[in-house]
Amino acid sequence: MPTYAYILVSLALFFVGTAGVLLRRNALIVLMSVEMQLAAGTLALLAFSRALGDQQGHVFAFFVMALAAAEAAVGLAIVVSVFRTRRTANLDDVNALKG
Amino acid sequence: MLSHLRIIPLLPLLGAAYLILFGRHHSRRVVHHIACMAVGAALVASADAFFFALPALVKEGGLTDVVGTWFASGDLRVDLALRMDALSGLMCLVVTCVGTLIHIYSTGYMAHDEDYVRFFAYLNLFCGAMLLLVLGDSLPVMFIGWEGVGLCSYLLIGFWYGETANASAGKKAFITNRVGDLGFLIGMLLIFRAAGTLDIPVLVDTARAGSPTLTATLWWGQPVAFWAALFLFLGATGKSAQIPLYVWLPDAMAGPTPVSALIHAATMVTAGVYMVARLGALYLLAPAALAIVAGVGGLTALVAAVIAFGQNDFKKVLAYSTVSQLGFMFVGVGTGNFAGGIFHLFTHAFFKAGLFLCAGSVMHAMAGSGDITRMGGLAGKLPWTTWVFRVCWLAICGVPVFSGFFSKDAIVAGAFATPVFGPHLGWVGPAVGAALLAAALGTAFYMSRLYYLVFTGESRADPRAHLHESPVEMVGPLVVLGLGALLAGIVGLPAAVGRSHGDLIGHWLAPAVGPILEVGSGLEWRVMAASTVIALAGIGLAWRFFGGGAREPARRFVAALPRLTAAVRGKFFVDEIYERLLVRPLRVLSRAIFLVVDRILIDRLLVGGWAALVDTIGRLLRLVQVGDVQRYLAVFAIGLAALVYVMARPAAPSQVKIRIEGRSAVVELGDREAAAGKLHYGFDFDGDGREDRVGAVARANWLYARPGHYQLRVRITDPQWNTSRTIVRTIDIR
Repeated sequence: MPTYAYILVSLALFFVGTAGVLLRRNALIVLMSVEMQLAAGTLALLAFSRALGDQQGHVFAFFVMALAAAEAAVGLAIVVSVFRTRRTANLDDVNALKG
Repeated sequence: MLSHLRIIPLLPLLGAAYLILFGRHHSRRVVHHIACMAVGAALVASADAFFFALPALVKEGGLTDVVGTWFASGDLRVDLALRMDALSGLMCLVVTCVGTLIHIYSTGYMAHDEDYVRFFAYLNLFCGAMLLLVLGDSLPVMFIGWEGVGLCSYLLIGFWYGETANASAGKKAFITNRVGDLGFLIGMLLIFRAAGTLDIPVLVDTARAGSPTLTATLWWGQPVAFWAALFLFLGATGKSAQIPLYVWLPDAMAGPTPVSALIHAATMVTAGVYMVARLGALYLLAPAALAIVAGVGGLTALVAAVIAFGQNDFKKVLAYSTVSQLGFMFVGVGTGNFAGGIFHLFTHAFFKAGLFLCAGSVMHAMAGSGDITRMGGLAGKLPWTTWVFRVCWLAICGVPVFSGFFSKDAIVAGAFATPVFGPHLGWVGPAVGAALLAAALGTAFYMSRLYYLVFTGESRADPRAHLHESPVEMVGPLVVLGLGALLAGIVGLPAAVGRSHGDLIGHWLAPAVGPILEVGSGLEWRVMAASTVIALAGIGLAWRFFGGGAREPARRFVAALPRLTAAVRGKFFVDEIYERLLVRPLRVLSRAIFLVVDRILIDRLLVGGWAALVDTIGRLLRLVQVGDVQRYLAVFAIGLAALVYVMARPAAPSQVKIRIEGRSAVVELGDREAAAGKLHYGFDFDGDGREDRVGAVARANWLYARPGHYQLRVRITDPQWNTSRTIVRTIDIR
């Protein structure tokens, strides 16, 4: 398959993730959408890496996966603690920094 | 032998600095030892310079000490230089001598004051500033001292600042002096503009040579010398309490009595007289200015003497007496009789300081009260004080043999004999002479009134009061000053009495202030006889009115002329007139400016306006801060997309070359990527919106059909990213 097909999938994945981050109101869904964005990035890295015959992209993909895991852990912890204090995971209700 | 004059003012200044910084760690004994020793050492140093180094050099302008260049700018160069000539040497001696005595006196007078250290620090600072004023060799250096003594005066008048009246008196003195100081500054600048120098010896030489730089007409037909002299004299009226700026001095009595004696009687207030004498040559160039000096002096002498009749505060009487005596001195210097004016300054320093210290001693006994209607019969209780007071009283009245007699007569005789006014103003001399004789009568009267009310008759004080003579550290200086008041006259015997060399002070001062004013022997005898009669008449009249307390004639006089006595008691309402004419309009104006400029322009518009603008912007921006992470992210995403689009646009061409030949135009875009053929160009030559030439070449030409202005648009497109940039130029075809 040509590289651009992978890139198209990656783009689609990224935009779906972005839409999820921007539009969904449930903190857990938003977190999942962030994971999708990261996966899109990873996919693009791998596609280019294979197209250019360069191993760096593969290495970076591992880093991104490790980062995604860490981010998920921290993000989930935040969501849980927000839920504990505010009894909700709805982002519209979490606006303590309102100006 | 002393060649470094700088240590004379430096010693008291160092004393002041030390006391201000570390004085509070020391006991009172140590504090007053430091203060007295600083001034005493300055006395020793100036006496050493005066008696041993100065006589040999007095004809050549005396000793000088240049510490360094203070500032230099363009033609102006001012050295921090000190000079002790005949005049400044004498002044220096008077200041340090009286200063030391009063420091010693203060150790007794202020013994129970809480702010002992502050008092002595200020007193030392004053002595340093006064010595700088006296020794300064140029007008700016003199001006530092001039301002320094003004500052110390302010600090010491308001020394007991706990009471508002005292603090206000200090402010009044300071502000009144500001008016005069402005005059001094203007005079100084006029001199610099005309003569190009501020060094006093150079200026005096220029003036003595009658240089046209100083005699050129400036304003209203009067020469530069007149205006400079007049403005400098305005400064002198402030510092030396003459009409119209004398009003601060009576109020200045709010300060401690030693301060009144040192600053407001013996030294600082004579600075104006000293300045006029120092610049005598300049004044001699402008007889009209001299006439003003003499006229103001004569008028002040008379008016202040009359006001003193109605004062019931010991120190207030002495304050008006000082104003009056300063008027005498100004008549002296204003009639070209500089030696006479300085002679009176010299004797006055002794007897007036003595009188003030007596006042302090009496008030010490009376638990601080200076109300002479509550005194009486103190002669037996305070023997030493009484004797010193008697000597000083007779000296100021001008009774023969006492010092004031000689110095006052030198001035009065000089006023009648002076030739300086020339034919047109010749009447000024006799007029002020007559005014001084009247003032002398007034002086004898009010001083005798003071003596009789305080020291003779029945005691009117609270019988429980513990009346006592002052301690030895107060009586000692009193006695020394009393001896000075008795004997100081022998340095200036008139020619009629002491032959031609009797006038020691006149001969001594001649190199600095010019030759002695010649007074005929007959005139001198007549003036001496007249002033003796006047002094005795004044004393006799006061005895009839007040001998042993206020008597029947005094009461009848007050009852017969109620309005006159009310006016005199009210000091001719000068303070009230100033209040109406100057202070109130100024206050109204200040209030108006405050409301319009401060409140509205600055507070509302400049300060409040910016704050309101920022506040409004802040309120608007707050609407954006909704606290919703997802909206922030949306903005972030949109912004990022916009940024990517902008960054991905083709770069602007490095240059756009347009060549026009006749009606044809050639456009060429300099571009690095153009050669690679990556970009696409669309040229619209005539501004009709249609692209006339299209292609991958960054170059195109066009032939215009008719002349005119055309708008050239070039659209550069990057087909890979589908981004573009448009360049617009105008083309002018003729």
